[in-house]
Amino acid sequence: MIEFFFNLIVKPLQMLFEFLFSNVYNITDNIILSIFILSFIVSVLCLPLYLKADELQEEENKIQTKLAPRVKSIKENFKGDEQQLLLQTYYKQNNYHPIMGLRLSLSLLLQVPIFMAAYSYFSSLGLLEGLSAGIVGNLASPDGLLQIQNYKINIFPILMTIVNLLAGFVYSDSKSFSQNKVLVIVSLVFLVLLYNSPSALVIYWLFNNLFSLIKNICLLKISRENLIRYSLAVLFILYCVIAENYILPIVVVGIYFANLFFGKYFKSIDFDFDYKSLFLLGITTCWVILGLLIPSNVISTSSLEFLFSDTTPFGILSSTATIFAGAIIFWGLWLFYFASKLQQKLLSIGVCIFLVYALCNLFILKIPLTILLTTMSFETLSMDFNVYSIAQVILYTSVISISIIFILREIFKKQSVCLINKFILIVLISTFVLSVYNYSKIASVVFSHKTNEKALQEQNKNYIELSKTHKNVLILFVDRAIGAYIPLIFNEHPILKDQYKGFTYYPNTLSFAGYTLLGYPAILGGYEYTPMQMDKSDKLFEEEFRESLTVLPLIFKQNQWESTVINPVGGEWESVMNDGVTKDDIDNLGNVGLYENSNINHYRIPKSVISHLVQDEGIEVESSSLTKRNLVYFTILSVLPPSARYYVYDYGNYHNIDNISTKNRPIYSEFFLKNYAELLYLDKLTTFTEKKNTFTVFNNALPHFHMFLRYPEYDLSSQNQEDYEPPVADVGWTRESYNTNVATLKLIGQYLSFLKKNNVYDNTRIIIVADHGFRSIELPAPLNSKFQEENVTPYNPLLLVKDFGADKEFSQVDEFMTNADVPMLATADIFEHPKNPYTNKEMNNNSKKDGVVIVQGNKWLPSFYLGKKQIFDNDTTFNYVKEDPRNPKNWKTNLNYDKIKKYY
Amino acid sequence: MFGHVLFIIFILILLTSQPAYAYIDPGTGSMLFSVVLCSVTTLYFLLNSLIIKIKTKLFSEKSLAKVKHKFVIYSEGKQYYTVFKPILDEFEKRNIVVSYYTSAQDDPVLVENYEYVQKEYIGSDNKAFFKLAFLKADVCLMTTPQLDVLQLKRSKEVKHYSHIMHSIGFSMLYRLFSLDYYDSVLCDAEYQIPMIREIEQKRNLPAKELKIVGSSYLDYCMENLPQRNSPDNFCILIAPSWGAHSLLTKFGEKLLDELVNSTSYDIVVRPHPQSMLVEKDLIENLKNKYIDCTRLKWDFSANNLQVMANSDILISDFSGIMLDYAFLFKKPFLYVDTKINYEMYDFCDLDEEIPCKHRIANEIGKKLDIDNGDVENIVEIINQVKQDENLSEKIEKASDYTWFYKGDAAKNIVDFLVEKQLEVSEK
Repeated sequence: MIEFFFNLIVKPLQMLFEFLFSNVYNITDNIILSIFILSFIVSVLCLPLYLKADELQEEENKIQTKLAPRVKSIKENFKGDEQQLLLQTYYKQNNYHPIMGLRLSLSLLLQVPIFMAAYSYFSSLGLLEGLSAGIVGNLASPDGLLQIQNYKINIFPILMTIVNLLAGFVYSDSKSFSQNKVLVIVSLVFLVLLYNSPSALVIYWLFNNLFSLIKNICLLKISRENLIRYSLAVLFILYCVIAENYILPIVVVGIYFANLFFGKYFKSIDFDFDYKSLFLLGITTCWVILGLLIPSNVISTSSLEFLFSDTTPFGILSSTATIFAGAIIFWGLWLFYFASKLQQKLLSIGVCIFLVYALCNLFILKIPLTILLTTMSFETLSMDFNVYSIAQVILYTSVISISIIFILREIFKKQSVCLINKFILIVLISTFVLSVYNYSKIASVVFSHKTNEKALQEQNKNYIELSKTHKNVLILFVDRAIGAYIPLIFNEHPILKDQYKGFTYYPNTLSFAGYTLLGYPAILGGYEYTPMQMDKSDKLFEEEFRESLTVLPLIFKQNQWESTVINPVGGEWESVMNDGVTKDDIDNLGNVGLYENSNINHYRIPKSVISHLVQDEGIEVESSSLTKRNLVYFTILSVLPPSARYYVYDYGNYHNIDNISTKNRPIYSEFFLKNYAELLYLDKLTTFTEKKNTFTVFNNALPHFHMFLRYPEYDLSSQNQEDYEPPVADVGWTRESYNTNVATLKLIGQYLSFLKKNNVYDNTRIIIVADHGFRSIELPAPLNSKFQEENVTPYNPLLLVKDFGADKEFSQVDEFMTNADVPMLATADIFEHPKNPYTNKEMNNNSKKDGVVIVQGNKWLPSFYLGKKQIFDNDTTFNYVKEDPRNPKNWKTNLNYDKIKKYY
Repeated sequence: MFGHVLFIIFILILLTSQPAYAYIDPGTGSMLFSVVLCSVTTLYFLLNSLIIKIKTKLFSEKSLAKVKHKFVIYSEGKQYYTVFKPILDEFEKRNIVVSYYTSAQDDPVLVENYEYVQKEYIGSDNKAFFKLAFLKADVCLMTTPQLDVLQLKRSKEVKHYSHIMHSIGFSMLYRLFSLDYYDSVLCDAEYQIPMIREIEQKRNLPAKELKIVGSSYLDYCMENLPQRNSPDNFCILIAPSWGAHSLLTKFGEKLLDELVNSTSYDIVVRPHPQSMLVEKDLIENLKNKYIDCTRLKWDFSANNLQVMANSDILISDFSGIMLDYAFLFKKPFLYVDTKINYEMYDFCDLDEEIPCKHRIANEIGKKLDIDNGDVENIVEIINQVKQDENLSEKIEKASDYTWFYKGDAAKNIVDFLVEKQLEVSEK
């Protein structure tokens, strides 16, 4: 409940403070000056509010004086209910309500949330820790400047109180002593409250009181209106100078002159309409879009990623909804209340126009498609928002201008907002219905996940069952592990060469797409399930996808091997894919019952593995606070035009000065930890009791994460190494990606040692494989060519293979491979001519000789392919490679659908 | 038209916008958005027309039929019998159905034989107020002041509330906000109109409809004026109000002593009905004190007309009885001016200094100055008043000023109500 009111009333202000402060601090780089400027800005922005509050107070006093005699008379002459009822009538006849008496304490009341916002901001600002300014040693603690014997006395709070009292006395110059008494009490309360607070906060409040004093002195000389005008002008000039914006002053001067010449005409226009209903409807709709629709849209695309240790996706949604309710409705209504009638009319028109603008930005000039992390940073850190076609721009400008003309026409000509209200109401209902839909989608995913988790925990199962006496074939699938990293990693960690003894590394391996949905099927299905084959075939995409998952497990099963899939793609897709695929999508793919029907063992490792990690290693699980904060910014970003998005996005930092370096994050998400723990505890998940040949597929997504780990061991730690210099360039998320790749190989390396120790290494064939590479990886020579970066690395999955009894040194084979070779590698020398159980065709890798087709782009959601037989069209571009991929001449890139047809 | 074209364009745009395909992308909802938008639009218009249909159906057939009353008259107590009786008779005469609600279980109207008057006892106090708050009627006539101020609230289903005076000489000496929320006031005479208007203006209230109709209860009394049925011995009627400042409480003993000891007149004391409820001891004490005096009688009868007819002079303290006495029987009265706290009354908002009623009383009657020995001189004063030759002229003048349309009140009232009912039912 407290959190709700905090989010509603204080949080919006706090975020505004933070935004202003971080911007000012970035420019000035001087903490005291920044506090000074922040205080000035806040004082000036609050000025109209305070002055209006003063005005209301005067009005209230006047009314009360006017009503007092009769009220007194009624109170004297009547008793009980009659007195109450007569007073009520008397107030009613004078258009007054006793609740309006609250206005008397309005200016004081207004200070409370503003104070709380400043208080909560400065007392939690990590930036201040150890930061000194002038005579103050540490801004994060009380100043303690005066030392008398053993007592340290804080000077700033006392100074602040003096200024506060001064300001109060100037203000209440002509007023009664009782009001002065209140002022003294309030000042003393602030003294007590702030005495032991961080000195930065006290300094902020000192400046605030100083401005308040100046304001009160000024008010003795000039009128309220002029004071507001002058101080806004100062603020405006300050802004223009700091932001080096010289166009704005010209615009303002232009408006000033226009007003001078045409002001009379403008004032004579009589536009009277029901602006109150328009405003209310407008802000409610704004709230539904910003507070409900956009956040739920973001979260519903991958609900489970938003399961934090401290909250569910709903915690995040409710926090965002409340913050926007506060910012838009609560403070919006205040603003409206304080505005004059003309301003109220302009505000309501403004809200309408903003609504159109926001919807157009949201739906027409959409944010380009890339992966978004739960911290709301895009995977490509330097995001390019300016991606739109001329058609979009034309549409955008025309919709906005037509709507504005329409709105103004309705208001000025008909002086009625009926039709506008109807439009807004329809948008309101639609967006609300959509939000409810999103919420229900999220709820179904989260609840089914929770029930699954619970069921899994109760199962307590040995997951990987290998045989000491028979043969084992083990496929370790690691999502987005990058082949090209291997030399770098093995160079940095020579011990791996020993651990991976017997393995063959295939550097020239390609995948068929840059994402899991089209990169995965060929791994277990072979060349019959490459994207082009799926496009060509007569079957529906989902049918083929479904088949591909079980081709290899079925072949082994049919030959009486014990066949097991761990973290299966069907049913619990998200654990493998990390691709924002929802439970609905999985159901649509039709995987339910897939493994049951074919009698293949399938287990999913429950999230409880993390608890071991938390206990054993003292790992801190990421909390949702950063996500909550950044989701608010991201929502705002979504309704802004592309050019403004850069500014808000701030390289994924969203003006968070406590988080200048996102790399400084030793706290991990649950989702990451689960994948890490699975590999770390592979030994604990394994038994050697099986008395049959075994075939096991183990799916894991650790390398898919971008995460800095503890150097040089690349394990989890609460500390970060400042002097870390990894062997990859700092482009996008490459360094973070490198970190998780190293961790993956090291953890698997430890598991290999464990297998050796238990004598199951030689009778086990192990294939470590990924589904695709990663874009924008800058590698050292000789792999640092632009061609390699753009065309090879994104499609360069890891492929490491160790055969039965192999004990040669770790070696490299430059043969041209694809991850569709896995079925042949897995079955080699075991089954003579393995046949696809679905098509009855003999499996082989002959087609590789004719070259392979790689799908470009990033259409990774199942919805693009579901229900289709031919899954591509002219929107898709392709690469074609024949023979050694190291030679750019063997590549034909950026081919369209018609051209690529020639190659298969 | 322009709006509709724009709307269609808007929907088309949303329909044509491409589906998004990011891992997490706020735009993924856009396809869905357009679908929902379309359906909501359709639903909105469908619902709208449905609501209008339902509304017209409900109001045309059912809810209108539910309005049972054209006319409702509410009587707070049986003391208002004289006010309403002539009006009810008039309705009956004209064959117009009227509903009569009363809060007095022993209301004489309840036992009258009416064909067109539907009588009902609706309980008193809160029970009655509750019923009246949900009343459905075109026109409702009441004597109760402070409608919508105290517990008696206006019903939203009553189209017109009309107030009728229950005593002659009304001069805003009702408690605060008495008439403010009535739609119309039926006045006794012209002089009341400026007072009501002055209050309206000062309180920024909408102007009420003010109709001069006369006084139904005086008409009734006039018609039912009893003959004197007592000996011709000069008889003094003492009919005070009640409470701490009333004549009987303050000077009762003194006055009675003087009258019993210094005169040979017959004396009838008629305490206010409320006195018997709240100050019974006082009455009992007085009764016991003069138990031996045969000239002093106590009257507790329901109808005060007979006792008025049987007397020759009235001593009172501004209970409504004085002007009735003068106008009906053309006899003099003496009164004690108990100090009234005007702040409790609407009168305090008027510019006038003395209520009209007091002025009139002062013109016809004689004010007793208790503090200056008027009680001691009571016999002398009575003799003076008895000999006033201009008395009937003065009474005539006052009566013409405060009481219009003598004998026609019921007709005027029903005329007004019928006209009003027609007017509001047409709206």
